[in-house]
Amino acid sequence: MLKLKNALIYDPKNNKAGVKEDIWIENEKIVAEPSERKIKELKEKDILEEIDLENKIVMAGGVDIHSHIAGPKVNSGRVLRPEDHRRDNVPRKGKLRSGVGSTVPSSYVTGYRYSLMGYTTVMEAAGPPMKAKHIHEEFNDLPFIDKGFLVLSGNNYFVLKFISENNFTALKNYLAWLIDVTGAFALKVVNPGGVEAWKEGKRMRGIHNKGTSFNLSPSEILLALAKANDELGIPHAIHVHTNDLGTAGNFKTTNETLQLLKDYRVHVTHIQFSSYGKTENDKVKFITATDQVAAEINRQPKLTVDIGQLVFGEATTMTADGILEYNLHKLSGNKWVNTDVEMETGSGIVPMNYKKKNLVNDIQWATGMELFLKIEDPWKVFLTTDHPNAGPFTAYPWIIKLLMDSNYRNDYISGMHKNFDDYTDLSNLTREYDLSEIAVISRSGPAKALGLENKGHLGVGADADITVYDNLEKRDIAEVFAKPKYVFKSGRMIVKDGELITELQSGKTLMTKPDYDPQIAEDIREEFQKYYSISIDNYGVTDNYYKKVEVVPCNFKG
Amino acid sequence: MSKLELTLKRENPALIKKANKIIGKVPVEAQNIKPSLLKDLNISEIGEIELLSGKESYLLKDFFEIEGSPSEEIIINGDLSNFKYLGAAMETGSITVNGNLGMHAASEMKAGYLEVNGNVGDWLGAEMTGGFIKINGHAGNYVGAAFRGDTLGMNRGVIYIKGNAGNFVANKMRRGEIIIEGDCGELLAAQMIAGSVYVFGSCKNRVGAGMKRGTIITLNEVEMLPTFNYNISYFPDFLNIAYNHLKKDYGIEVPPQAYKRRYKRYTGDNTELGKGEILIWENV
Repeated sequence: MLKLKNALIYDPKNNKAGVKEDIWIENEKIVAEPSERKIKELKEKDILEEIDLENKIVMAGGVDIHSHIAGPKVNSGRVLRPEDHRRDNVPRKGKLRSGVGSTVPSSYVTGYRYSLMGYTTVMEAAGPPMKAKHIHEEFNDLPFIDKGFLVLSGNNYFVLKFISENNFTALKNYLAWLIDVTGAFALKVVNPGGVEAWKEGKRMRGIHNKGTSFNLSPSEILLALAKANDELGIPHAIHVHTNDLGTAGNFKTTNETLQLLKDYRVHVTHIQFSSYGKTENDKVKFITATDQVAAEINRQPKLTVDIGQLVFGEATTMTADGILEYNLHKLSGNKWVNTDVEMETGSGIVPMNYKKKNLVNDIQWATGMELFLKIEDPWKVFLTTDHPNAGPFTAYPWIIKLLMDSNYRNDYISGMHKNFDDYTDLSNLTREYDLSEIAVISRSGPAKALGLENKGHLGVGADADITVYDNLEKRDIAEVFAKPKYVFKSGRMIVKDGELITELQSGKTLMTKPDYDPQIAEDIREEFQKYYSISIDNYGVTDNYYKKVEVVPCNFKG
Repeated sequence: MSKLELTLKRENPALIKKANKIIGKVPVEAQNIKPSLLKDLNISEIGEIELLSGKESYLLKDFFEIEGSPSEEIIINGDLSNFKYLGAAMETGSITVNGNLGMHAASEMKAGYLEVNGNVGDWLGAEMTGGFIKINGHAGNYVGAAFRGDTLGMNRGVIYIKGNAGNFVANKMRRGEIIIEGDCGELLAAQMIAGSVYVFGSCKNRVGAGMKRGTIITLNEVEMLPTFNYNISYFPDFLNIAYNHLKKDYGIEVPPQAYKRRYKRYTGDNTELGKGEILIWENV
């Protein structure tokens, strides 16, 4: 048994903000304080370990709701960018294997750097079902953290077919079957209908036009998926990457999407890329539209978003939104990858360098920051950089500093493009996040949105994933959050004094198993065998791919 | 002025031996032999500098006899063909190698002077941003190039090769000058962004493939790619100025027939920006 003494606990889920308490850990879980007799017994047997955390900030382990850390797309990104890794080598140390870092780190280094930052649960944001085996193989080489993946379903042939046939039962069964056979956690929807249209050589704008050979509009796809997701009781909402992402004036599409889905649970991801306005009378034609988007988010009770905050410097954009990557390649002239994943989705990768002297990049940066500050309820907005699209996850401590310290933020703005204030109103925002709000946006909120009841808090019964930071007195906020004093994963210490314990430990793979009628596999067999390059019998991920699995129950009730 | 002289020991840890015969050499990473680092140390500290060979770590004194006094001027004697990264990222001073030298010599060099009285391996002066490199023998592939995946190669600085050079010389070069007295391999200045390359010998195929801007000057006939346009045959005055500059500033002997002669001018590569130029000396 382990006792963490005198900790200053920041646990928003249990309404604790700087409360001095002890934490007891047994068998990978946080437990209630044992009886006097038991403590005496433990002490006699000398199996009670105590760590004094006087004056240290204690939070649950971080939870990242959206990050690209494993799978074919990430791996292609690594292959595409040898220059990304050349200057960032991580040598072998004790039992920790070597690797390379930077914007697309190797799988081991991804695990190390998340752990070093105090994050213990990460959701891989987009996995094509066909390549699920690859994702699980990489998960097995991703140490320390718990992880799961969201399976792409917004442009899947069978999904579109069942929706266009109005066969809702089959759609539900198919989605549940897809989650089951791929070992996924929840559903991801990327530019619904838009990628399919792009694969057919068309371009679709907005969510109401019908464009594909299925004669479906994005709104019909979104509604059907949101409804199916709620009825299946999957713990996480549908995870939506909106249509028209990244284009000037797309806030209208975003708001239409939010209004369309107001009766369902929905999580809109990297909303920074979906909150741009358009000005006609000016060369830049690009402006933030955070007022409109934040107002809509503040109005809706069920909605959650993550930001996808832009970070200046190198980044590697990678998404299932093939058309977006085509546009980025044309815009930047950088090297690129674009893939058609058979019946399921598209995909693309383009390296980017976000520059402070580039006004458009400055506006994108300000859009993310403004959304953080304008969305009133921190339980609705989560900290992400859409790693590695808008920047690497290692920038989280810096973003926390920008949110907590308005003086630093204003200093930083003063180095921006001279016309910065004409396009943004970040300079007028004075809100500062406090530690409890930081705990919400970086762990409790994402855990709640993902439906992970044992994560993101320090109450009795929670997983013993705990991060201990130095207090903020006379210290740089970014330093404190970048280098936690201790990190505990499943009750075992993995980071001590900002260094990893040189012992590998594997985390769990998080999955859901919604109920379905197994007949669906037979119903789609004929078409599957006709159009896929692999057989349906080889499609599913077999049990030998799974090392340590936690099945999260599908008990959401609308 | 004082000099530091390092002489490679006949017996050193990088040698692979079988029955007392040397059958190979383990590569040594020698980026720590750097004037800016060595000049402030005393002789015994210099001997303690780390050199990596294979997966082992050794000291400089395991490889070299150290003579002279600590200085910005380093002379290294011996066959260093298995030594990589010598002079990499050097900022000041000079290194003279009497013997062959391996890969990545003076890569990412910022300033200073490297002279090799022998041949060098691949990636000489790759991604360098300043300084002067003089090779009295031959050079390998990728002279002044960009490393894999990077967008910019050599960016300022001068590389002067008295012998021949391999393929992909000046690949993705951004600025600076490369002068090759001998011949040069295929794909000279491929994907060049800007800068100048002089080849006084002959070049193999695909000169300037995918070049955006920049100038290639050669004194021999070249097989042109179809994506280059022939412009004009003329007497470019600026070349005489450029040749005088090479002679005056770097002491480079330009063949006398190159001066005040007629050159054919081609521009391309039209698959890219098409602002690159290739000047070919006309033997008339």
